Amino acid sequence: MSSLAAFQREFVRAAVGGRTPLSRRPAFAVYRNTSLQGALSALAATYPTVEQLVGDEAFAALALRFVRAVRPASPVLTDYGESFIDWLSHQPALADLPYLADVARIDWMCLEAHRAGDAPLFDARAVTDVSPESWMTRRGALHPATRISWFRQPATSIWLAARDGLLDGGFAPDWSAEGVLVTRPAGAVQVVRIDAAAHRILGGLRLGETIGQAACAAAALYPQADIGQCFARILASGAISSFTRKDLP
Amino acid sequence: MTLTAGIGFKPEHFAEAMSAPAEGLWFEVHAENYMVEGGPRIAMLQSLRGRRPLSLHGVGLSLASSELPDRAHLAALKRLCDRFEPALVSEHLAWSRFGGLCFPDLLPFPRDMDALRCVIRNIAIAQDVLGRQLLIENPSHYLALAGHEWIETEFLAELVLGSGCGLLIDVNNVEVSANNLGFDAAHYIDALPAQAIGEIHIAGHRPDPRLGNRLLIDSHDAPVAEAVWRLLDRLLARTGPLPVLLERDGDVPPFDCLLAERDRAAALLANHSREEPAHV
Repeated sequence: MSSLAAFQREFVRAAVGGRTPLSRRPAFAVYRNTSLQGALSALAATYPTVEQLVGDEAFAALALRFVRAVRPASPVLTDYGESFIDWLSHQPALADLPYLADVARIDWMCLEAHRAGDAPLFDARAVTDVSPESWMTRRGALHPATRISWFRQPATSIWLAARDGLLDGGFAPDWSAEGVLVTRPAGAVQVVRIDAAAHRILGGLRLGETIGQAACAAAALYPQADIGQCFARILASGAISSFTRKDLP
Repeated sequence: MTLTAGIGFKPEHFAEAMSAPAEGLWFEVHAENYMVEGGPRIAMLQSLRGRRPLSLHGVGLSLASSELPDRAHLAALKRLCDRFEPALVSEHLAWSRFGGLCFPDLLPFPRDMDALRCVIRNIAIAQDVLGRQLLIENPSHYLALAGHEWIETEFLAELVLGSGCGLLIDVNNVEVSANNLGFDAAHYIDALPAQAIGEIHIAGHRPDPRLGNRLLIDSHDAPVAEAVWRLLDRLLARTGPLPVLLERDGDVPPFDCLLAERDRAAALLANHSREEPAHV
């Protein structure tokens, strides 16, 4: 092994907590702390709502345990920490916050939406000149920033209440499953709560269904839902960047 | 436009940065903060680039490593260079990646023959991919390591000769390292290969909370110290005017405060432009 590789190996051993002659020198703490602090700051920036829900001190303790277990694998620190979501769901100490990992998921989706690629948003005029029957042959391409997910608990409601400062004062969401739609209309990330029908339509579009196929499937699965209104809200959210004609075989 | 004194760009200063009238003002960003597909961050930097020259300052290429530079990371840096056409591109004489782990830090190494070969090889690979010269920055030192075969100024000169890179001299890092390792900062400045220097950094530092002034930390969270201004003056007397960049990453004050500190550097540059550079 080269002398540089041998030095780096020894340095890494000390940096991740090994007791070595290097790690016992007082100044070595600067390197250990800088690396830890960089990863901790990145986690706090990525998961602000998790930090808000558990409190600064508890978050710092959780983040430190996570960073020691899972080091960054990229120098781009906003890439770091997606596995924090799964890690949170396996912490026995957090068993009384069963929605926390889903809230973390929404924070992560916001980060992804923020840095996703650019594409034009759909032109509203394109919708009015489409005949009703042609919906069966139109696909709606999701904007690169659009993210959807479905939760067994009201994670979106809790996330929104935390953001709006409504968690105190008797906040009591309807304790049922719900979805989230994250979009980036006009350059700013937006989070909205969606129901099962909207989630079915968006999921269908993502898989390449036409508007008509996705709407019909949602109507069949959720007969109580107002599919027209549901679709109007999806259009208004900026989730769709363009409509394309499905090429029939 | 000739680059005079610039400021490390902070997104919270966007509006003021766009409208600042200062002559020769330019901005530098950490390349890794803009390695994203698109969105408002990129749009903001594109607007700023429309008004001012830009410098991309990388912190993650890990050039002083026995391992080769990460191809995906280099490709991301290349995309940024293509997108923003920066006036300057720089990286560090340090490593941050080994065996699949990344350390968000700039780590030291013994300056021996093996290290020299590795760093020259890695700079050459990076410059080939980017299709341009990199400026390499002297790091801050906290630990005296055994095994050096070159003093740092001579090692930097060998890198310039071996890879064709230029140098970015951070005079705050020189002050911090001189204090921590016990060498003479002025001698270091006088020993640098002046012709190879393409950019200078200035920044603030702090004493370590536990060890005090025995260990200065390159914290970028305070105004530039007087000792660092003196080193800048000494270096400019050798090089003549060069782009000088004020870095501030912590405890960031309002834009006007940074601009006032930047103007002091611009005034110093103006003084030195009236003299013949010594170039020795």
